[in-house]
Amino acid sequence: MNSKEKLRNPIFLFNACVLLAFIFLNFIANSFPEDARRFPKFVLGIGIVILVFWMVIYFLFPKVVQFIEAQEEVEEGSEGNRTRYYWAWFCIAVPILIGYLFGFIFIIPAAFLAYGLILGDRTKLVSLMIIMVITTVVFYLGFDHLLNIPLLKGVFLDLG
Amino acid sequence: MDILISALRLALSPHNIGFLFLGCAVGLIVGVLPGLGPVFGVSLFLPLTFSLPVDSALILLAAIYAATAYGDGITSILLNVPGGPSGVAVTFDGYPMTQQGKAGIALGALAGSAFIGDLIGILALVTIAPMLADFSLKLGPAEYFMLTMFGVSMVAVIGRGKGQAVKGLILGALGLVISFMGQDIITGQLRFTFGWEYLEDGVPFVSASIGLFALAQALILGEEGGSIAGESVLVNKPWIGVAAVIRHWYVTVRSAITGVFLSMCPGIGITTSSLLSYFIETRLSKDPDSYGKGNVRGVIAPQAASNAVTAGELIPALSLGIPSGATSAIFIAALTLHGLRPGLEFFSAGGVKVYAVFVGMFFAAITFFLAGMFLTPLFARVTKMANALLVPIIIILCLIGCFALRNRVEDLIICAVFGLIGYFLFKYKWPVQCIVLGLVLGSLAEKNFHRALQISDGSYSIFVTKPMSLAVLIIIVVIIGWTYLGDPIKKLKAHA
Repeated sequence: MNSKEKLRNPIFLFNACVLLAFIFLNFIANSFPEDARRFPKFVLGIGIVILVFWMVIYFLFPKVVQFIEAQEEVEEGSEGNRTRYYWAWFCIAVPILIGYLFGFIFIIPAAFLAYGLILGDRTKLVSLMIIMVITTVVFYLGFDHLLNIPLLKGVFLDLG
Repeated sequence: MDILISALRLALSPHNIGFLFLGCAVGLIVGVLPGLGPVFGVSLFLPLTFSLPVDSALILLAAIYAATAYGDGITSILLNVPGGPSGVAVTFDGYPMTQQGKAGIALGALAGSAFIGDLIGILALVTIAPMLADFSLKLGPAEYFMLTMFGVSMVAVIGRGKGQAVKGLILGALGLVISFMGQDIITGQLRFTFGWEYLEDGVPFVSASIGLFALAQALILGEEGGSIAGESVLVNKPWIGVAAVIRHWYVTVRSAITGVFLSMCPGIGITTSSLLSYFIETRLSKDPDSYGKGNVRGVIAPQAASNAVTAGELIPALSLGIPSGATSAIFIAALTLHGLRPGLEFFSAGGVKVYAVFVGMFFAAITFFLAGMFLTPLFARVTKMANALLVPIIIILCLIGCFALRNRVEDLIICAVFGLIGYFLFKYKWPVQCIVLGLVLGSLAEKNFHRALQISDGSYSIFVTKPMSLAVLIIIVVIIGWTYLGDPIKKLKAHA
């Protein structure tokens, strides 16, 4: 792996983000009273040392990295899998948004329809609808009426 | 003997059996819901016990507590979604077993270890409660700090187990730093809140763990399609799991005893106890590398500890009136509401009713064990369900679990953020449990760190002058040394 590839490695990027965050938080912690900053600064300091140590050996002594850690090969997802991943996020975001606007009861059909139509087997639409209706009724009655567990109320609809 | 027979009669009266079944059913339902743990289940039903006799009230609450601790592990095994914080440790080996088509065995091991853990906890509660509770009172902040540091040092063990020692430390530190967000418990100073009022209470552990495990898992399942067990043949034989519990009886007993001991230490709680039991077991095992890959002992150890905690937490609560966790505090509230004062005279003053509660707890353990055994084949079939149907259900349960505890929409945002982090960590095979360990132990470690320094007037020598604290410190140094130097020394020897 050359230096450019090393810089683009997601693990390096993640560690770099964590390192920057730790340095930033360490800087902020200076403004806290002595008692409030002592332990966080201690932990942040150790974290920064470990991250810098990791980066140094990652760039300069790759053999040491192999010596300390068993590097597992991460399978790169196929193009199809990546598309499914973005759709999976979409299928989470849409029901949450619908739930936020109209209340929890609409999250269930929204989640089932989003997953069923986008990522599921579209030939089984009838069974999807039946499961969706049953789940909505069971969840709503079970949580809201039987267990009295508070459910998200919508901005536009005051329905649990 | 007479008191025991009377207690048996009272516990097995028709109305108490009814409350026992009700408690087990509610506990299982609450248990399998992501994020909703024993505290939620017990506090939900506390108001309903006001009008009940004290024995029925306590049997109901104890049954809910024990069954929730067991139920938390069910979804951990089937979906990699912890039913509650105590189920986090069960995911490490339970879910890999499911992926291998061994969900039935894992669920059997879960039921068996939960049952044995409960029995050992009840036995400790009845026999050695006052003695052990007295010992736990001798532990000061320095000892508690070292115990939490012992827990934190386990990130090295987890990381090493996965061949990623440094990554484990980085994530452990990240978890600790996240736990510092919010109001400092000693000075009241707001830390790392960035002016966001929501963060003043800190990052909610439940939402974070739901995001890290459940939501991340939902994303992975959505991306993969198919079903969890895939083409693998389902082994729906829970008794094989129960047999594994009997075969590895020493793991079950050791973890349950660890759970009982830790449950008496205030603030440690069910989550930390189950995580520590798991990591202690990986450390003591002859084949630590098999953990995290579907080792049945990785299911037995945390679950035995979790259920031992449910009874163990009541030891200081009932004998000294000191709650060691939120659930035992609710139990004390229930006792007080019914005119009983927990403390050293509790056992004599309560008479038959106290022992009836213990008998009720025993029968609750039998009830959820049998329910688990009969329902296991049904549970295991979930792993063959299409992910496109399963994922929406997981998401809905995640949202309910996140929202129900505090009724705050922001908890859903935290869950989504941690879901993204969790997805990344899972994808790149980082030891995600390290972040959880840091998150759980951060505030506990800091609180005891400050208290110890207050006692010693700011001198750090308190951590090495107290014998117990020094002993734990030596254990930590040995563990870290063994973890980081053991493998390189072996490799050097191999090279030579």
